[in-house]
Amino acid sequence: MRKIRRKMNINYKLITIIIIALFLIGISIGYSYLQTQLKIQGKATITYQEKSVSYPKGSSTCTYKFEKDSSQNNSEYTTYNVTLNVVNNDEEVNLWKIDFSVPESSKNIWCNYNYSQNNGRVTINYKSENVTFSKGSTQTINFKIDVKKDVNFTIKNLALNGLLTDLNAL
Amino acid sequence: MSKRENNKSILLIILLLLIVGMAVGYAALSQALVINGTATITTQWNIEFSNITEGKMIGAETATNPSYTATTATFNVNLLYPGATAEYKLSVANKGNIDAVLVSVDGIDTANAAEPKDIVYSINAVANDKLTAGSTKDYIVTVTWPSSSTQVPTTKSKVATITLNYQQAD
Repeated sequence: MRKIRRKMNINYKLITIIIIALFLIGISIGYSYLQTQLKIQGKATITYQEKSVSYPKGSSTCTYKFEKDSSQNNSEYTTYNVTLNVVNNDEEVNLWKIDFSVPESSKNIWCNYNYSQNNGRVTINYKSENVTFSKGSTQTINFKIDVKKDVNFTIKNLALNGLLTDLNAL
Repeated sequence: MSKRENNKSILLIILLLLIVGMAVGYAALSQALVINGTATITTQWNIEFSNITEGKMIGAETATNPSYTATTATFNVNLLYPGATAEYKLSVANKGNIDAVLVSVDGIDTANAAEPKDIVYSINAVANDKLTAGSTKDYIVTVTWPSSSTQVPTTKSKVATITLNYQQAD
């Protein structure tokens, strides 16, 4: 037998080690098979909007609706047609101003009023033929805006001349 | 080779032939009595995310729509002012047939120790929470900019990786 072993050059030690290693690998595979790691990746960014939160609450209301503008074709952004209806339930204001927050990545706002957009805050100003916003009346404002495709479009913290309104999406 | 060794080898060969012969004979005789049966033990280990949705949002807006794969859930939120809170509801499903247990929740302390400390993460998942086969559990991840904060931090973003470690229940 020794001769046969020598002839075949069988290294029994090596074989034993391989068998034990395979056994241990099997155990570890089996063990990892019965455990799972679920990962939650969260990112939070402070985007302080001092103006929007420093306004006191007024009595005016605003409803808005929006729909995708299918005539626009952009791979990265969706264009929305937005209609705001602001009802002034506070005092009559001259040189009125409406400002509100949109998703910060939004761009290319187009509006038939004087407007500005800065860090997700849009400001719309009166027109010369429409200076006064009397109590009980409504201003209807239409605008277009490009919003990143992976972002929900919402309007928040809408204020009329420095007073926050009750804001609802239709 | 001596005569004695020769005899030994012959004896060994005879013994081997005898054993082989018995095995072959047994196999041949038992051919007539074959019962074909299949018994399968199917164990399935499958813990995965099944949903993520936006929850209560105060002074916060989702920057990118939350998404998930089997093992990763992702959200991205903007916090607008001190006191802002964002909640995301995550559903974890045990789609296998082995009971599981949440052995640990990692990453919260690490995330909260990192700058900016004004962004605080929490989750209502606790260790030893069982997830039986076929069941689903909801957890809420909360991100807060505490109202006690008095200034806007220099670093404005914080990424957290929260890990839910599941193993086979006892």
